[in-house]
Amino acid sequence: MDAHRWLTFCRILSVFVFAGLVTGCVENDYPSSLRYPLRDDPILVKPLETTPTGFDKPGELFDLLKKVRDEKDKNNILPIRLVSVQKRSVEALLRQLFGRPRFPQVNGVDPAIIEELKLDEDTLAEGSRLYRLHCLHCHGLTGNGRGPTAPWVNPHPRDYRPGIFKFTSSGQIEQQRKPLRSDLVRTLRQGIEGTSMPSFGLLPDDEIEALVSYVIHLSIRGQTEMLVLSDLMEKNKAREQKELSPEEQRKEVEAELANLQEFALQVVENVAREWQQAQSSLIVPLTEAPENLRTAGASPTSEVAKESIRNGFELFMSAKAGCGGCHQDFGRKERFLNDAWGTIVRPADLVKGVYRGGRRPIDLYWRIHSGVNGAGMPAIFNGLRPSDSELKALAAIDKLDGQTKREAENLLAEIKRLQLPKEELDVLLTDYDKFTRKDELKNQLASQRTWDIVNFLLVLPYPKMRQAHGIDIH
Amino acid sequence: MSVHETKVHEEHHELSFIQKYIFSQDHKIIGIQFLFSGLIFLVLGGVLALLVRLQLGWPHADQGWLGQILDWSPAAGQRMSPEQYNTFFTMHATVMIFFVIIPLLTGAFGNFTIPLMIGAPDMAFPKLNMMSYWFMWPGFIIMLLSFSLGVAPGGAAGAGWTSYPTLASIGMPVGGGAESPAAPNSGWGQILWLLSLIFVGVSSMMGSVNYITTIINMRAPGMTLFRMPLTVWGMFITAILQAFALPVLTVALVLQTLDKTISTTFFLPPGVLEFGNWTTNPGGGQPILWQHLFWFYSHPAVYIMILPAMGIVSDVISTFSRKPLFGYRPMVYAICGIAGLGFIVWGHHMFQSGMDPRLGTGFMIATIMIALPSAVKTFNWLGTTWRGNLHLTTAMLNALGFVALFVIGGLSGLFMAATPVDVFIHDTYFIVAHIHYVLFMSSLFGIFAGIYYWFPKMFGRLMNETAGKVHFFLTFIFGNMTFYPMHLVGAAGLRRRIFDPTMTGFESNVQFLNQFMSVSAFLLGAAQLIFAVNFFYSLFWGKEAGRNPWRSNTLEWTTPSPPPHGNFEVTPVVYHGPYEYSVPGMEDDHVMQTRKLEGVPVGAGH
Amino acid sequence: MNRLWSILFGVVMTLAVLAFVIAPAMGWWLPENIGTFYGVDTLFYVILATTGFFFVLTEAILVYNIFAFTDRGEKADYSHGNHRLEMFWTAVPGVLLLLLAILQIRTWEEIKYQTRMPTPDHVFEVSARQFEWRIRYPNAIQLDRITSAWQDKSEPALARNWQQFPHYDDVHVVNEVHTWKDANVRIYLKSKDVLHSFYLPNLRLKQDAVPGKTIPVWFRATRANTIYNEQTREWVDRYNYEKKRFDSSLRYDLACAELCGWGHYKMLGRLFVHPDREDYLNWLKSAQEKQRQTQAQ
Repeated sequence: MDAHRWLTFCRILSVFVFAGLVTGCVENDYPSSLRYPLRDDPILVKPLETTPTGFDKPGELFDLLKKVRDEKDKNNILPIRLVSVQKRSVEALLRQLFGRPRFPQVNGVDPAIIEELKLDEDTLAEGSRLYRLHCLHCHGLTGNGRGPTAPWVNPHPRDYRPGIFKFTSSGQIEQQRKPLRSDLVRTLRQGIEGTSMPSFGLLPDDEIEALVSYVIHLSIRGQTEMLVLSDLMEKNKAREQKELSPEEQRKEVEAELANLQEFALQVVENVAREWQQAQSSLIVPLTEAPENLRTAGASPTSEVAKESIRNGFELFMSAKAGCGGCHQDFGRKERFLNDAWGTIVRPADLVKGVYRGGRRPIDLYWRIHSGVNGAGMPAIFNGLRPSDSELKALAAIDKLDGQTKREAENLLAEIKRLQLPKEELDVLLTDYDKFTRKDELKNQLASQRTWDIVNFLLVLPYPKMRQAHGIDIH
Repeated sequence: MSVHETKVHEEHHELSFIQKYIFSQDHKIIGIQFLFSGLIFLVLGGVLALLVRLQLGWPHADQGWLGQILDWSPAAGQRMSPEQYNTFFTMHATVMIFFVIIPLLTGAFGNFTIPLMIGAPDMAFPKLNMMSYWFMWPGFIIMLLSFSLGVAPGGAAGAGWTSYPTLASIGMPVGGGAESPAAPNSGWGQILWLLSLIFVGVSSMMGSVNYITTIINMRAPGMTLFRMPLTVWGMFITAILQAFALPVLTVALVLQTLDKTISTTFFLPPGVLEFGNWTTNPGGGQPILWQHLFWFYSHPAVYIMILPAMGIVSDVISTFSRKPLFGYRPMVYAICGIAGLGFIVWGHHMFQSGMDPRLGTGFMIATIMIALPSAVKTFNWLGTTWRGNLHLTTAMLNALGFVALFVIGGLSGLFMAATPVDVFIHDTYFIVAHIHYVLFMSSLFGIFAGIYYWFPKMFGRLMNETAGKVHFFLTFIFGNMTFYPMHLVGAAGLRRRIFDPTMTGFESNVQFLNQFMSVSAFLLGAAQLIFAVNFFYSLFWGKEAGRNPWRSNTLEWTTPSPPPHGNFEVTPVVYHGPYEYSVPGMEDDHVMQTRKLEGVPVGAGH
Repeated sequence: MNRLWSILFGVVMTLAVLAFVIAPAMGWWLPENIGTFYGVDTLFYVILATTGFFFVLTEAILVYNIFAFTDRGEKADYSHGNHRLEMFWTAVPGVLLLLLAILQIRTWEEIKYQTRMPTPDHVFEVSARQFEWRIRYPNAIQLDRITSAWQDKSEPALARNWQQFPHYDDVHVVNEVHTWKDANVRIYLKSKDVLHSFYLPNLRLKQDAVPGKTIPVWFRATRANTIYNEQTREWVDRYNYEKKRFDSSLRYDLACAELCGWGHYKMLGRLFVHPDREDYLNWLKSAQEKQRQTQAQ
């Protein structure tokens, strides 16, 4: 009997020892030996030209991406065709620049940029740990948006590597447009409504900041990798045309690789600078939004709001803004497009009242102002600027008739809403050439028109509002 | 009906190996086939359980070598993915319930014991019986196949063993393929899961028809219904339960299969459901309908998984207490009561499901009352051991373990039955504790008791008692260490079926217990190796058993071990009930049912 | 020797009882109840006491039987049962169980019956989707109109209308449930895709969200945990008003309790209980203003 008791005691003891042992070697982090694998999927130079007829079905993401490869040399680059010595040196170079998943870094960049973008090693290490916890199974190890869950959610998780992010508020030019940190923070906090990107709003602020830093790290790394690989592929293509002997080829490849580091450093520097510049290029609306958008409880049925919404409706339907070309039947009609990542998107159904980039007026303003990057939604701000001739025609408004007259009257009404000083308005309406603030006026008008569209979009989903504003969508 | 002649069939030697051991029509071989396949799947189910425990103890931990074996790629952080976790617990439950507990209890013991215990040469429909076993195999194979499904993380079904729509049932709109927008593992994995269970259902149906017919028609002379051992009673009532409840499940399975394959909308509500960009066709059904259909079977199934074990345990306890079973008739009535009430309590799984709360009140009262027959059974087992002469063989220890732990499982059921308490503990670990105390700690101890008890009759050899006792000791301790803390974490609110239990405040409070349970579970798993070794060792090198090693009364012990084809040399004639132990005035402390007693008073079981 | 097996049973069962004794001290116990469904806890303890009694009783008899009657060297008693005893142990638990059943009907009705739900002070809609809680609050004016239209217990058309047709000025928030202390809350619970379950452990509340159905849910939180942080200009939870400091135990989680797919475990939210209606309305106003931002900051 003593044996039994003794045995029981030993067993219970051993349980705790075992528990201690097991818990002792648990690491909630990437294995320290793990490396970022080198990219081997095709690099899409521009969206595919085929017209998709619908979304890919669950689980078919990889079939879809195979189509990208099948397009052959038309508009993509296949880094898998690089020779192994090239791949090896690129991989080593990237490791040197960006570290490993457990110890991410961004090297070769001005320390000021590192500081501004919060890309220091401690933040990144924390970010990488959290990324593994919360993001990895969708967004993947390298941020390629191809984690195990990726084919099973649509819209598919974002691929950070092209350095394109949909919902940004930066005023950079289209090819370089990077998000502000605050854009990424907002996406993490709010999630993306109507997609599988959940809200991480309940995480503490510092964790969200660390995650944003790590996403920026992955994006810079991915873009650098993409550009370096593209460059090497270009060189390979050029060399193939030269018909060199294998020996000569080998030598040339080696010579190229010797210069690789310099090139890569330049790329990193550029990409990082784009990110840095984005941080100070916030789009600030030039005109104040109508009162009903600004103030809680302000009625969208006031006369000012009515005018603005009406104008927004007309702009939406007009060729000038061109919204209706894609958002046919206010987006209710399904149309499918290829996006910059090789996946399929559709223009949003604007009657649903689901706004992926956020439902604040400013969010919609930014979307309209500079489009949705990568998704085929263009920036229409410039298109909303009235032309000189339109403005000039105001002086002779009485002599116009028909369609042109109505347009001029509308424009006049819009200008009146800007509440210019009396004397300026007089100059504008009598002698346009003497008007000094032409460009500013055009921008202001475009801004006001953007707000009008925002105003219209915000009432569009509500049947009662549509009724009040005479918007008929049937 | 082909009743075999009841004498030793020497001429049956010409049966080929395949006819004798593979496509056998002999109920004993079929029983043993069920036993082996059940035990094999027990290993699979156990491994899945350990994977679940591994994840719960150390979520997000780098699983190192294990991750490499299971292909948890570094790109996935070298750990389980949430989809895989869902698959593991879903398949654990499915395998354990449909491939282990039910086949072992009704398939293995039902087949093996019923004809032997009622004195019949074989089942009423031997061919049907063979088909019943072989219909399990498509189920087995389909279920195993689903593990190897394509690129899906997990692949196999992962919507819980209850497979609630719309998570489980939803597919893409017409012509849109079988994959599901709701979850990666509710596409083909789910379809295979449904098909597999349809096969298992058909198999069980054939078995239950066979059992009912055999028990009604083929009892030996003198074997009145109230002279049947409780094992047979348990099997009889179980078979009736199955016969009435299974068609409902089969229908539900077929409906969900149609929903998934040809886009019918039995479980799809009106209105379009949205999964990001994917939308479904508007339906005309109700997700809750599935829950009613499913639980209309699956609640009785809980009793299907416990009544035979109760019967086995009653036999074992009476035998090894050397004392007549206390209250034979109340025990039979209790079984019938459980079965009868079992049909009207399914709604207690659905208190929070959004069905009319007034229904909840009705189901609650029925559910509370079902505790009564269970209590009566427990008291009767205690009454049987009271002033008995207990022989603590391994079988007896396991049966006593059953009683001790069934008390816990039964009592914890009261918490869930109470509708207001259920509001809090529904879908928490409290229910996981309850189900494991009933199905693991009770049913499995019943199964172990049955195996240790009938092993000599099945294979003619005794299992090693020392190894058996060590196995019982460790299983009892580690089992309790694994499952008992679940009550506490359940009371703390820990949700079931979650991949990471450290995400909320109230759940991370109990993470220590999660790790404790995980370690205990590993040890519990390891302890089963003793059983495996003992089982196979004894199969070949165990001590010869003889006809009646336990000096038991029932008919199966009157034939040689293992019994020959046709079971009995002469048709047995039964003179009294099965539990005439320690009859006063007799030298021997047991009286075989076939022995006619003159002038000795024989009690209730006549 | 064999009778020493009773020790195993005895020790394990004693530990089982002990586990329940020490669990509350270790924090492995019911989380703080900040709601009004006290009946849940009371019933839990009543059932715990009842089952505890029967547990100890039956296990003690079992252990005693194993100890006393194992290999006792004489023949067992020859008895087939005792009719009176059977009647006794059928009738006593039967009556007890029936009492237990009757005892809980009231609490159940209080929690779930729509006809018993109190007139609400606060109304909002919760839409569950994979894997988040989208919550829609009426603005202050709407809230006033809806609640004041709620004269008796029946739901006014205004509320049903608001529930069916989102309003232009509704406040949309993700994963954050806001209410104030002692407010009777009425939630319209919906689901956009699969089954979810709205689970607030601290309120002893759980209700599945079913696609295609709108299910009314009510609760009343009686302990505030949310305060306005002047510096960040945000409302933060976990504030202990009695002790005037933050306390992590005052984090009231909202979780999904019904398996809803791979992200089920992280379908979480938080309950913010404001000290009073005014503070709630301030928050609502600030949330509404945030939603109406026309400048980046």
